[in-house]
Amino acid sequence: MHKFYSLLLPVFIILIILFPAKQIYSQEYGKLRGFVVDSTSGEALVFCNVFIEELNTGASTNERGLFLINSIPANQEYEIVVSYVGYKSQNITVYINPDEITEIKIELLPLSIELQTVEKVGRKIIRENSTDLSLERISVKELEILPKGIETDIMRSLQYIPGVSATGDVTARYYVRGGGGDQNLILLNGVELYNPFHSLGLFSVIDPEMINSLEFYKGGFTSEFNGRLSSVMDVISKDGNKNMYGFKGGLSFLTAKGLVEGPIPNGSFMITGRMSYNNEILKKFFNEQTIPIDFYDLSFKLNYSSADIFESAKFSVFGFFSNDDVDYNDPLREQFKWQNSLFSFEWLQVYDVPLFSRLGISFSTFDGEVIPNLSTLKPRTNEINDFTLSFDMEYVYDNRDELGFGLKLKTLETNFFQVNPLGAQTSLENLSGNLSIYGKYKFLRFKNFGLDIGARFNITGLNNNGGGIIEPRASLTYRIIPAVAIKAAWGIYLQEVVTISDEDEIISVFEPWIIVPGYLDPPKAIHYNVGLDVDLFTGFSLSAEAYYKKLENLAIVNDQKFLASDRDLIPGSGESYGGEFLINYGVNPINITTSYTVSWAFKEVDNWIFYPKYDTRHTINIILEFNFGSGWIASSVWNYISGYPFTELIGYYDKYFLNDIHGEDLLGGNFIPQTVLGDRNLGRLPSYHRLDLSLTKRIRLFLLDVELGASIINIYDRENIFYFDRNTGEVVNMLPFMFTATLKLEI
Amino acid sequence: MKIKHILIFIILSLLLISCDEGFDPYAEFLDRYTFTCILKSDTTFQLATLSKNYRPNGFDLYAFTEDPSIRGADIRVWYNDSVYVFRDSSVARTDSSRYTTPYHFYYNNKFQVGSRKSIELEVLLPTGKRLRAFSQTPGEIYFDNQSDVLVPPVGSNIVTFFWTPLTEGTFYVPEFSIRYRYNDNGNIIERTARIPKLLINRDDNLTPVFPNPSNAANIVYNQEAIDYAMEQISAGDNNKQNYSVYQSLIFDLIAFDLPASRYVSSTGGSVDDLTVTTNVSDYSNIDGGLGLFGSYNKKNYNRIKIFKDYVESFGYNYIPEN
Repeated sequence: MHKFYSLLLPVFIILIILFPAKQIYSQEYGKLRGFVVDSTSGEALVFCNVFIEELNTGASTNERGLFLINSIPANQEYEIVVSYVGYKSQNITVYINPDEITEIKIELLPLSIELQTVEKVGRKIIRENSTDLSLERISVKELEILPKGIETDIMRSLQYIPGVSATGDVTARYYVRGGGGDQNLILLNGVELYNPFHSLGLFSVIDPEMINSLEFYKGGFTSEFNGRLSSVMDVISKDGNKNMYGFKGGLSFLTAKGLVEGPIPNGSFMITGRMSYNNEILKKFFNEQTIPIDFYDLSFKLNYSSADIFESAKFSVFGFFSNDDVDYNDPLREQFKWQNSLFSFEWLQVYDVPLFSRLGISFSTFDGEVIPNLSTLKPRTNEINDFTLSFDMEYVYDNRDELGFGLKLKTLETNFFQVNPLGAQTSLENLSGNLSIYGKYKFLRFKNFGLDIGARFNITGLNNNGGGIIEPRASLTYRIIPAVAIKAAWGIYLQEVVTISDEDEIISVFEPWIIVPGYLDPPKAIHYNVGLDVDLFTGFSLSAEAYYKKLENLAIVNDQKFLASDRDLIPGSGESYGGEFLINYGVNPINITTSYTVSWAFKEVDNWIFYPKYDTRHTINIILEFNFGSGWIASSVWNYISGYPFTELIGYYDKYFLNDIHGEDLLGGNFIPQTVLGDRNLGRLPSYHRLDLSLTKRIRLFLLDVELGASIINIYDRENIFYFDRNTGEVVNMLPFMFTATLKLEI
Repeated sequence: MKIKHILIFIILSLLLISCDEGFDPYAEFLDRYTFTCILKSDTTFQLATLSKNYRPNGFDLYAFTEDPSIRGADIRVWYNDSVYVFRDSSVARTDSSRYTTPYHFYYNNKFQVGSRKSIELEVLLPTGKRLRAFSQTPGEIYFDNQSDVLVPPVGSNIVTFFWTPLTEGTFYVPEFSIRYRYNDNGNIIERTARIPKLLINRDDNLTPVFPNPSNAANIVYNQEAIDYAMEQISAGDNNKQNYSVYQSLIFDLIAFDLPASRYVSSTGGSVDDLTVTTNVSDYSNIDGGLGLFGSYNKKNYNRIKIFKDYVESFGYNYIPEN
């Protein structure tokens, strides 16, 4: 099998060299390249439609706000229509010169907030042959309208996407198409974020205020991404207002936050900050327990672009810090601390020929620590130091085909130490390097057919057995008729860092990352995805996807590790399959999105097959949004999930616990009832469902934009079971009826 | 109009699905048997217990008072080419057990285990089911010459004991104690006082911490903890002269075999206060059942002595020994 892939790479390279090189047109042609921004802030508008009416062709802006339209018959004027929901469309006349790239910058004027409809981004991409199966483009403005469990959270909102599941509404941790929680890659401006959660996994560390674009791949992702088996979340932050200084402030029951932005000479800056000020509301999440959680996150971004230094270049410096602390101020209770620090430098360059490049240098660190309740025990610690250098290039041919290639050099140091109260110790320290290259070719020359074919090659691996592995990937779209497209994607994916956490922990505090130890092969996944997109009439779209995912060499936490010499991880495997259906009808003032997912997930460890805790058979989401006008928007979400798996109880037995083996009592211990469990995760909890409502009012007071939001969570107070405490017989429920409110101010 | 119909349909569906579903955490009841026995090197009295699992009404486990112990089983242990049969017995309970019947156990008082010997178990239950297990007793314990010999230590405030590690993974349980006698109106009562390894301060109160089983091949006692143990000998009694402390202290060390070490480690408790897990990792080396069949080796370190001046500084008498 490995040999087959080794042969595939040279064939692929030859294909790239032979196919696209020739100019196939004899007529004179030109190109149009542009940058679409918000006229008030100068912020790039992503996934915005740019359309040439005369040619009935166009493009959409990428995640940086850039677009390129090739092969435009030259020596003519064209009317370009640039449209973006929430902004006033603009018609621009452009003259196209032969054999030249005509550059334009388009500034779209935002509609007044009272007139704005519910923004839909990425639902209607103009490119008909776009190879975007399993890709979700998520608009933060859209998420802000939905009911909030305290405040808008991108990871909680992901759970409304078909194929994304959770183990309940208490946690923001998510699982994609049967993959584990550590199989999701989270990139913040291209930098890997290792621990994306605040408050024991309740919320994301990424403040939605800082996000400019968010793409989420739930499978079949193409070769520019690596390192995880199941999904990719690619978040690009805002650049900051290039035209004027601005401030945004927000308040929820949990946090206070602010954003400052403004111009600097030849660029802009943005600083965001958020901190918790009151954790009373968190009692609803923790079964009425008070947990002294404090957290904050900070980010900044500086952008610089000057023709005096490099023409058509943009430099960015980005920093992100998050910190969590749980401190009871009690020597008999643990103290928990964890923090992420990200720092990156990025150089984006647009060349005279239709070529784009990106150079990124980044550092990402994570430090987690559980300081034990007795001073003689050493703290449980996890430390990650990640340095990554990446270079990506993209060349666009005249025939619209695209060639992409790049390399990534990563050095990663992971240190993990823990010792249980009886001294069973785990100490894993690893410093390793990974050099990988990728190449991909996008056949986009046919209007109704698109193919993205590529491969990654791990020259050296982080894991001892991770070098020399090829990960081929392919994604295609064929539009049968203008309203119907069929899509498919296939790929092999490798992951060399995993968390060493027990998947049966439904509230997991400490999820240390380690490089997969040398005694295991790196985990591998194979994705097979097919899909169908139907756009029947204006405002109505339907999509269906089916997937099959095979997981090999999974690194499973060894729950039979009782001695330091026992291995921490053991090999396992898994598979998952399912179907996802989504119907959207959106014509102002109403927008309805209904999705249904049917899925199966299995894991196999030691020849024993079981359902992982996030395996759910049926999921239904119904999202209804209504724009009343005058700044009033209401929404409701109803979520139904057939029962989560749980391990049933057979009974109890009296287990011997050592107490005083030196004492005079012959037994030297006592007997305490202990559970006898049935087969792992064979039982099912009752189905989960919940209805949430929200109402948002946007008003303008002098120079101030004000947004007031109110949400009611679990309106009919459904008692959804979170878990069953076998020791007490208590059934612990998920979120009860809950009222939350938010306030946002913008100058 | 269409929207109205859709909304009515949605609401009706919601109501239908929202009907209460029952939740039963129990699966079908299946019999599971638990055998527990740790063979000892320091006594010929070997004890074992045998019980079955149970399911209480409700979840108040301590309201379940039906003794699950099993009588009439045939228990045999093979050791040193001999077979030892365990006998049924019971004694009145002295503990605060929820069971009201006498404490039932099996015993054999004909052997004690030595170092690095194979031990094998077979239990024939009255139902005809068999439980089997085997192990190997731990090796001989050797204390290291670096171990302290004096209390209080000279030039230090810690007392450390070292020993040669046995098989990797072996768990040890140390116990350090003071031997003393108490004159109770002419009646001489011999006693021992356990020494904690350290004291921790909680709400301005000092709490002693005693050593847990551990796989470390050494143990450190703070002098402050030894002082505390010395004070506790006569706590609340102003007649310190009624107490006499022996020159020789006792340091005993137990080393478990590997199954017992794994078992002890498995009872180490939860990872932290906040983690909620739905799985319980349990260990047993009983083929066909639950529990433990293991052994331990015990050794005394007899070189540790206490200074006369130190004993007398507490107002106690000092009993010299050769």
